[in-house]
Amino acid sequence: MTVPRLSRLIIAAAGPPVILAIIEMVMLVLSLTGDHPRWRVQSVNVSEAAAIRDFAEVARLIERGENPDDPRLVRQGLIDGRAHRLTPLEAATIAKRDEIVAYLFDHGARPTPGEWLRIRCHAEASGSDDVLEILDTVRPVAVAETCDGVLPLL
Amino acid sequence: MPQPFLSVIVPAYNEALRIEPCVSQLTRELNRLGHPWELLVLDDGSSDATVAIARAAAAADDRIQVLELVHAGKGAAIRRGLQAARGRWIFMADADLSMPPGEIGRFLAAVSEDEALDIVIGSREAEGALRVGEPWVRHAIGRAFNYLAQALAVPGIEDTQCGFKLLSARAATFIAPQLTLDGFAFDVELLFVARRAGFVVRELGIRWYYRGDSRVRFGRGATAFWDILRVRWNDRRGQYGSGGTVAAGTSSDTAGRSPGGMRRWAYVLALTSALSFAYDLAHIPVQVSDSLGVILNVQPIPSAAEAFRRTLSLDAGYFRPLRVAQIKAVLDGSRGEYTLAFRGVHVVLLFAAIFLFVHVLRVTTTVDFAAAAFALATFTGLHTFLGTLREAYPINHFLEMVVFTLAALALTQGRANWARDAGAALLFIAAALVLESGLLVWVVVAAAWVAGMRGVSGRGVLVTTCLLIGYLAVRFVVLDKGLPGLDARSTGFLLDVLEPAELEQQFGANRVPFYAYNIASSVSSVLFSEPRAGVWAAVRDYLRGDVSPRVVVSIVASLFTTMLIAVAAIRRWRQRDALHDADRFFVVFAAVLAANAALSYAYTKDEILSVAGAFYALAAYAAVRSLLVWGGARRHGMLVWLLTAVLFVASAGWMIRVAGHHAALRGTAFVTRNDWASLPSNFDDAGAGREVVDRLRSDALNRRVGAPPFAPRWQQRWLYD
Repeated sequence: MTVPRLSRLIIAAAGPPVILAIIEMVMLVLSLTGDHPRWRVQSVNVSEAAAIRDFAEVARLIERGENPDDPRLVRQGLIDGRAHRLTPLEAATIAKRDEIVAYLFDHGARPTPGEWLRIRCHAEASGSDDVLEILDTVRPVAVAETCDGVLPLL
Repeated sequence: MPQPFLSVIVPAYNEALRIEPCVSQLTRELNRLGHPWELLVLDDGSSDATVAIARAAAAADDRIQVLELVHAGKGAAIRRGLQAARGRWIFMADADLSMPPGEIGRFLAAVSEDEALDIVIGSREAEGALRVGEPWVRHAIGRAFNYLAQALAVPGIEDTQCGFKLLSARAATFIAPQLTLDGFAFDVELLFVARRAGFVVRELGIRWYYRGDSRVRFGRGATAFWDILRVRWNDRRGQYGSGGTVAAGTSSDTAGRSPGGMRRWAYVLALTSALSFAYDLAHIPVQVSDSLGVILNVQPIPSAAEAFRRTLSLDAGYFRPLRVAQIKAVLDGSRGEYTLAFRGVHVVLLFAAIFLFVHVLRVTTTVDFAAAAFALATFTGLHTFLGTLREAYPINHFLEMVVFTLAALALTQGRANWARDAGAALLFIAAALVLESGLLVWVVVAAAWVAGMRGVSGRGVLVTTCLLIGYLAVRFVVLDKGLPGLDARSTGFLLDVLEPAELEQQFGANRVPFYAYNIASSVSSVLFSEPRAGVWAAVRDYLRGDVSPRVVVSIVASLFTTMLIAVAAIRRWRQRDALHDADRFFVVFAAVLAANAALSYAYTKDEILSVAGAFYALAAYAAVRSLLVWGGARRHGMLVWLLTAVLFVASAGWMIRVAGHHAALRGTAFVTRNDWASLPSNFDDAGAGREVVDRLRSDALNRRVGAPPFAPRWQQRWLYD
């Protein structure tokens, strides 16, 4: 019974890589329809992109003309177990991405004094020193000094 | 008389001067081998004292017999001998013993190692072959004959005419009655019939000494050409039966399958692997770190040649003039399509590496294919491969090194000629001028030569060695480039990455322990996937209480594969008289690993070890192939079950690691794209390079990539590297 034994060994050695090759082949065929499972791209808005730290997508959308100040719905699961309505600046602050915060200010983000304060209070509470530093460079003239009574972002 | 294990048949026509030494040398060797044997002298109607001398030998030893035949030709004598022989194996030998009898043991070892084989033929063209003293005219005629034989009857067999062949009794019984040719082309007919019946034929490179008084004359040679046509004609007339296969289902894995079929499947596997990684690469923007600065530096240089020249005077500690020249050449040739050009080069290198890898495996049987599938997964699943794919400067020079070294190995396979020698020299020059790792081309060529892969001749090795000496002289004496020091860059040490200043502080007084650590950790990294870039990441994760499944999978796959390599290498070393071509990969791998680790003395990175990683996978191929043959032939099962389990765990581990590399490349694409998003403020002063930066950034941002948070958590734990 040499042949079955050899076959077992051959399957043990080659089975997993061949299975992977078949899966890859199927994915390549699917890619012809523009839908490679591994490279599937989920559409996100600017706020969602900022929340998941996808700086490149933030930049792409902003440079395509999206308004950096508009609040947008961030779907459930990207920040926590709930959906939130946030501006890109708010989402980037929650994600502690100072480079996205800086980029948004450079590309026209202009929060109201109330929004600015909410963002700053969140950054302060979460210990995002880099974000605080950027926020303080664009501090509005008339804005409260404390976070007392400020609604939290989340 | 009991059935002998081996029958040796020796056709003889007017061989009075040679038959006595022939018989006595064969007798001595057969006694040494220790199997029961018989020796049949097939006298083809000699008119000299051949018969009398042979009879005297037969009288002294009853295992020797003489068959007196009417003169009809060598083919007729062999046909008669195949029918008269009683052994389980039948060995055909020319009376001139142009092949030393000591080689017979290698034929027997080949069939004992691979039970799929029914026929092993001595070859003066196969790897490891050596021709001595043959006039070039005779060699040229022989090659012309072989081209015709391959074209018309036996494609893929490089030497049909060598007079030393081993056949199983089963093959001989089936083939002999179908043979019709009496002359020298009977070999072609024999192999044609064997192939047609599904018998597996393997060429074995032998040492062959030209005997001046050869029986082959021009007129007979011309007849042999004509006889090849007769083989085809006989086949058309149905002379060789209806085409059914006697071997199918009766031997092991390869019976009834054409060697080309398995080779094709191996290339299908390679194509799938290359396409899937190429698809990943196409989504990754050109790197910002390590790439953009180089691109902007070479942009104002007038030409690639000027870039080459200028680099000679830069970079103390390094000597890589062709690296920058290549980047300049691709940049200039891109016509503004920078991402396409650089990624295109990357994809070409990827295809070249994967196809060369499969090419050097020389897959012919199902066992070969299985081992190749395992090895390809090892090659593309090893962290060194991911390192080479992930990092580009912006041309991936470490992947280039893999291509150069595999190409050098391919040159060492087959028969030596001046073109292979020249190819090896050119590969060395090109590789050495790109990166220091290019010196591994010399290591491959020299180690392969030592291991018996002599497609690059001794002269070729000598020339390459002279080039190596020249390189060292130019680098250290003429240009005074020196070597990288502790301040070269940060590198891993034990559980942390140390910056140059920390390295200087710890090892400034005595660098030897640090260099030794780098070399040892490089070896360990290839063999066990730990440490990674000098850092014992698994130990660190363990101490933190967070060892992810992917770390365990990586180490287990590597550990098991290294064990397989060790077991197979030891086993093959004990049988080193009968090495399969693939077994020589063990030797080359050992040399490449040692040299590659030594080149990493100053600092370690995964991609620096990419060449050692590729040759580790070649050693895995040799090991798995050897152990499959061994396991398939064993009667009792406990060890075979153990081997099956180890193979499966290792193979599944490599599969997960390959899948992980695809996932990791997606992560790389995400990170690199984000790097470009943050770029403009850093490159305000790029000047003439502004257009390049804008174009590369625009390409990057428009290559949309799914963000990691959308990937399931289990992928992070099992796949991401």
